[in-house]
Amino acid sequence: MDSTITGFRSAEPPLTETMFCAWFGSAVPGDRIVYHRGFLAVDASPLTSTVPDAERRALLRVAERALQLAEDGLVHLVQRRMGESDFIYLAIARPRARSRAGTLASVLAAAKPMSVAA
Amino acid sequence: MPFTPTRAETNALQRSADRVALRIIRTCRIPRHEQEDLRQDLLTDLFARLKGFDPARGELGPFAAACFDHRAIRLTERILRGRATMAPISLDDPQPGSEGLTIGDSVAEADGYGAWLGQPTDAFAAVERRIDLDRALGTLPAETLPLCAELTERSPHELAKASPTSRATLYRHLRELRLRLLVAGIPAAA
Repeated sequence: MDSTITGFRSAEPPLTETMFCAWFGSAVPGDRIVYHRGFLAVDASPLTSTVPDAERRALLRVAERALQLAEDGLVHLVQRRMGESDFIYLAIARPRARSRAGTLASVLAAAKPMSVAA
Repeated sequence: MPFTPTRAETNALQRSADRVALRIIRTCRIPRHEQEDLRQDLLTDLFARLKGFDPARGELGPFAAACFDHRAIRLTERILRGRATMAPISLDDPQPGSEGLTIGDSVAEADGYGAWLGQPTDAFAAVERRIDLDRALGTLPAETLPLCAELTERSPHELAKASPTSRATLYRHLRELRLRLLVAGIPAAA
């Protein structure tokens, strides 16, 4: 079993949701981050987790954010087995799709009060 | 007829103002030479309030002491607030209210040194910023755009007061908005 991890940027514990979003904000396609090591389903559950509740909830927020980014097509989520109930969970940045243009102008226009004709 | 203090009363008021000024200096740890300015501020405030003083209802001393105390509190708050906004900080200091981000994380590299001091960036940076914001807003769900429009005109506090939505819900939406903008590469959103 390969226990050497190369080319990955390991998250410095604890990785918060904000830090995860900040990572993606500056990531280029192909960048990857380990957002958890362990067994996510067990570690994030209040019934089975062995970490303090605040840490568990923070992990849950990170996992949910990673899932949301995956559903938005922004990251690939992959796992790599390291051992018994021991996985590393990776998020890999994908190329971003073109966003809607002219949104800022519409937001600013919506903020201005409408003038009333005399 | 408006009350006018005698010379003796005025001298006593100045001595009281001096003591209060020294107290402010000790509390705020400001230089001793500020005492005269503080004394003048206290006396000016008192003289403006003398029209509300009725000698038939009480002594001048307690009235002046109360005025000095109130004014001293305002001055102390102003000094400490000003010191807090100008206190030197490190870019590696954690950002209050965020999770794991530092002050430096909220300053974009393109903003330059001037941005750290609140100075406007150059025109090219402003155009690039606008393009970045346009792109970032395009990634947001359409239902969040009315909130973004509101926030260009009103602070979250004003929005919370004017909106039927609960403050907790509003700040939850704001947190989500900040994270989505962070995902879109707008670091100052943190």
